[in-house]
Amino acid sequence: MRKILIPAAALLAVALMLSTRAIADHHEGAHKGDKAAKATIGKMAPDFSLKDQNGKTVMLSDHKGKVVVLEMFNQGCPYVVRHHKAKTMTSTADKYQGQDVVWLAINPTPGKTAEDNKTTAESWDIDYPILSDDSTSVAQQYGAKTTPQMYIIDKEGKLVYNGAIDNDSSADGAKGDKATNYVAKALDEVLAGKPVSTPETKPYGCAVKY
Amino acid sequence: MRAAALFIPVLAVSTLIATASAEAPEKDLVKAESLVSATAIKPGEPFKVGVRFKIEPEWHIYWINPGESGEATKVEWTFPEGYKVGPLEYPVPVNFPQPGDMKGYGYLDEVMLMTTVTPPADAKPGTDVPFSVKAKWLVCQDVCIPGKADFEGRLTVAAAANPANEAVFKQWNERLPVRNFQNVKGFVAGTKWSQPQGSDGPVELIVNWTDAPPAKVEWFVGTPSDVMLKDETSSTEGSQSKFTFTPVPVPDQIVKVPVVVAYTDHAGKRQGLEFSFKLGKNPTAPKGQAAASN
Repeated sequence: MRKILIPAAALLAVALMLSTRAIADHHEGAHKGDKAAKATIGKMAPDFSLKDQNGKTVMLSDHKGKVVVLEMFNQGCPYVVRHHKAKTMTSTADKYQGQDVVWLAINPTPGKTAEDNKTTAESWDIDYPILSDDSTSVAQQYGAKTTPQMYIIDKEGKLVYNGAIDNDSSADGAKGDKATNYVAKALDEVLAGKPVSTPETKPYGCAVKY
Repeated sequence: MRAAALFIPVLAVSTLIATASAEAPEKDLVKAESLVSATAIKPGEPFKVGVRFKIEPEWHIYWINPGESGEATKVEWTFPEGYKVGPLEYPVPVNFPQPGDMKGYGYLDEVMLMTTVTPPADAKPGTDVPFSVKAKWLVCQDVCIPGKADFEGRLTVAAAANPANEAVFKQWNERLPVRNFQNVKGFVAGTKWSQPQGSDGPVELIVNWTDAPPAKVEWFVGTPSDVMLKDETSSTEGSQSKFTFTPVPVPDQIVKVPVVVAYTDHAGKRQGLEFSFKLGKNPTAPKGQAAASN
């Protein structure tokens, strides 16, 4: 019996390895040759598949035909805290709701689970998905340097904005109402069918750790 | 005793963010202290004020341009009307790697940020001069924690100045980048910058040395906080050190950008020189013009 069991166990192990491999390949495949296709302004944004705070799988390609805003998120980052206290993100998301704009937060913080994101979403009144990217693979593919770094993807799936939420890089929001909201400005341009006048700005905030 | 400067720290708090506190130590990572170069000041005679930051080992605070993440350390002094407060002076920063190989510019261990204050020529001896100081910083290691400290102080106007804290001001004055380097005998011949026609091309910054170039030339460019430095290159060949980068985005308004060139001099001492250039959609200086200003 032993002699049969061992090869069976080995086979099972190989099968398991193969299936993990297949999943990994599929994952890579979903990113469409991601090694070459890092997020670049004017190019198709890399697709991803991540789970939100309720365990639901969300893919970028689910939202084809809509404008998608990505918000790199970390509930432990003072800059993210500042913007959520001031409701910068949620009020901007609300402003464009119903205009074919989808807002997705991506949390590339190792160790932060869907459960953590759910707790944060509830206490911070966030009603959009917070996607767990605790392997940081999507953040890496998008070249995210900081939280809260922002991206906008147009209806065709092209990356049209990469940078800061606004021009106030202080932890305490020193500019207040005088800050220019780059994301709102870019969304206005995208929705009006115009090119984004400032497609890249310097992201600020907390370093994303890889 | 009337001449003694009094400092009352009204608030010296490191604001711990609740969710970060699990990882962050509960003690003060930065100890800020307000200092003045005199206890009694003379009408019309400039004196210096500073805030000295003592930083927990392996943590850092930031220069005017923090690099790819972080935030500039800031200090603001408020003096009575008629007192002229100069720009904030940052000592020559250092480069440090941040998580994710991101560039970081700033200070480890200890630094003093300073400015020069000029009392009015008609200040009356015997009068008290109250002032206040607001300092704020972001201190980072793997996590970042914003902090701030407010101080209030009082000086007295006298017929003759009474210097104080001379050693510490001397120590940090020597670590400021030299601005009037054209007048310094040594090995700096001049600087220039150029920005090609149009606004999207690379900016080129050049220092010509009169002698053999010094060691460890490092460039620190104080671009506004929303401007990225892309495609940075730096080289030293012959008697010339060059730094090029593409600013993204180019500011709509013309801004004056300070540049600090740090180096190790022939005596092995780390030094820095500072000049500035203009960046914007319509730079006024023609291409290639020597535009070092102090």
